[in-house]
Amino acid sequence: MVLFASQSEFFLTERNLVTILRNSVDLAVICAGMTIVIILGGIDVSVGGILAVSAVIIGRAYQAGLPDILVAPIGIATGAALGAFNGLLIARTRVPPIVATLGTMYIFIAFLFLFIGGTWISGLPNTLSFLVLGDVYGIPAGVFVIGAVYAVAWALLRRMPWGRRVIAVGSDEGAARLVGIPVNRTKIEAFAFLGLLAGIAAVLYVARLRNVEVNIGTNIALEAIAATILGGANIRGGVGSLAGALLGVLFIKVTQNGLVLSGVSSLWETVVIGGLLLVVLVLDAVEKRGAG
Amino acid sequence: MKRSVLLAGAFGIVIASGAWAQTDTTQVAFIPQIAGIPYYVAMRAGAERAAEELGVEYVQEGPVSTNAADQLRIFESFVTQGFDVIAISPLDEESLKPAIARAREQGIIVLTSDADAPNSERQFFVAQALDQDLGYTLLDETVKLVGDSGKIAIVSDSPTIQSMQNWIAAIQERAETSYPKIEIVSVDHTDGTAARAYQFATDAMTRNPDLKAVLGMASTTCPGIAQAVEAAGAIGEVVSAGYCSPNTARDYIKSGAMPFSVLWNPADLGYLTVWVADHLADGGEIADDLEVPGLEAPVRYLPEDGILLLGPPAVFTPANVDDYDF
Repeated sequence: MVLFASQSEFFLTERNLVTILRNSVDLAVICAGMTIVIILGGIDVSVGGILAVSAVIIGRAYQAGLPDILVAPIGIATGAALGAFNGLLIARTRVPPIVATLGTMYIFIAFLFLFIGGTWISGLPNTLSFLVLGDVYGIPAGVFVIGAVYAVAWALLRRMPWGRRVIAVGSDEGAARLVGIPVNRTKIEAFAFLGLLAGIAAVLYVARLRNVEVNIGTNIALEAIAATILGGANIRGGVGSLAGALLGVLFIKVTQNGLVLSGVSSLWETVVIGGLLLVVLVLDAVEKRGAG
Repeated sequence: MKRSVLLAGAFGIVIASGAWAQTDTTQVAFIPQIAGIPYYVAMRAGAERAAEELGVEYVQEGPVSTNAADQLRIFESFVTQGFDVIAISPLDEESLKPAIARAREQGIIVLTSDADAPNSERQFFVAQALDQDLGYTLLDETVKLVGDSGKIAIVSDSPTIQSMQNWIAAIQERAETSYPKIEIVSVDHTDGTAARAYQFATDAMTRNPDLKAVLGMASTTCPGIAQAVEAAGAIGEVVSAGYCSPNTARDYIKSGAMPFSVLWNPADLGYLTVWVADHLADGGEIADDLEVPGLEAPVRYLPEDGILLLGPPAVFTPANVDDYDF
């Protein structure tokens, strides 16, 4: 951040920081759920597909003339249902989560094409835009949205018995089963929670950009996984941090923004993010070897 | 068990494709750069109209993301199915070159349409408009609004899409030769989502507070850059414009965030592609400009590059945008 601030006089302006925040909201919301799923020892590469399907349903609901008060819950419920489907698949079939969600991602994306029949949904109402673009007493509304989501996620993970079950399953699934933890139910609930957050992200995405394009959600799953791991989550499960994930999101969005403001070609941003991800994983592995 | 299911599936596909190849009517396939965007849906409408009038069979299938490997796979599947004519809007010339050469060896007529692969063995390029005309028109129209000096940012889709690289080059060339005080400050490439286009446009405005215009190279970038201008409250200060379909740009053309958009009529392009395909499949030759029934302007033939040119670019403004639906 210091580097970007020194390279561009515009980086640390209030307006630019608000811009970064607005662009981070959907990714940040998804990352709260991704952190929980990764702590559980799972992973979900289909969140982009869940976001896309929810966004399409939201777009169609708007086009059918439904009001915000119905549209937003429909979108969120769609996300939760698709997430629960992922969880059910993983819990019942014992298929590794990365493979199961890879499969469902293809299905969700196909559904997107079949359902919107090759046209973009555009010109949607902007009645919910204030959730991302507005502000309350000078504080950007996105702060409250992110704050609320992370408060709920933190309470679930650190203050409820459910959170301890998630950590137990992620640390040692066999042991968790032996002590009578409902492993399957916990998995379904965690994936459903991530799906629900993807549904919320879809509401926010449509509110901000007012259209649903066929490429919607393209890179968001990878960005979410990268942010969560940059934030200190262990991909093998058991360990993870919500605050860390939020920092990971900020890191990715600040890199994207800062490189552009510094006049560096945007093609470098994926190199920077990918490189740092590898550094984190290698350091983690070296540390493990040292300890073991 | 699993293997026998797979074998049965593969067998079914082979039978289905075999039956496909046995019909007598001319079969024309077109592979767009991506399935499902309104632009190619409009192109299909024009192509299907021509197919019906000329009695040919038309199939259009494209990759679900702008992925060159997927596009190549689709191309090869049409070759395997024995289509008479395959037209393609290439994402990546290099990966397609050997496949196009092999298709020609099998006697398949290969056209490029919508975008070109000039160094491949394609027979003709059915062009909507010359890249140079498009680049010049977009910058000329922008200059009419913002004056002949100032900063302009460009937001494009994937850098592997040759036609967009050509448009960017044409815009840069026009700026250097005709408007020396226009400065192209950045060229950024999105992953095809509106969110990334929005991000790049906003960042460009932040970095250059005196930015005059943001130009989008693809319909995928248009809602994002226009939204960025609207959200920044910069309507009237920053012009967004680009190669945007009327449907994706309509709201913003009317709001003033995107005062105009430059493109052509893709339905006419689809019509011309099928017409040329049918003409060549029937043994016809092309040696001169063409009068194509069903198209208003005559089609120009540029023999040195093997290009068939639909006509001059169209400019969509608040006055005419409602006449188009794609």
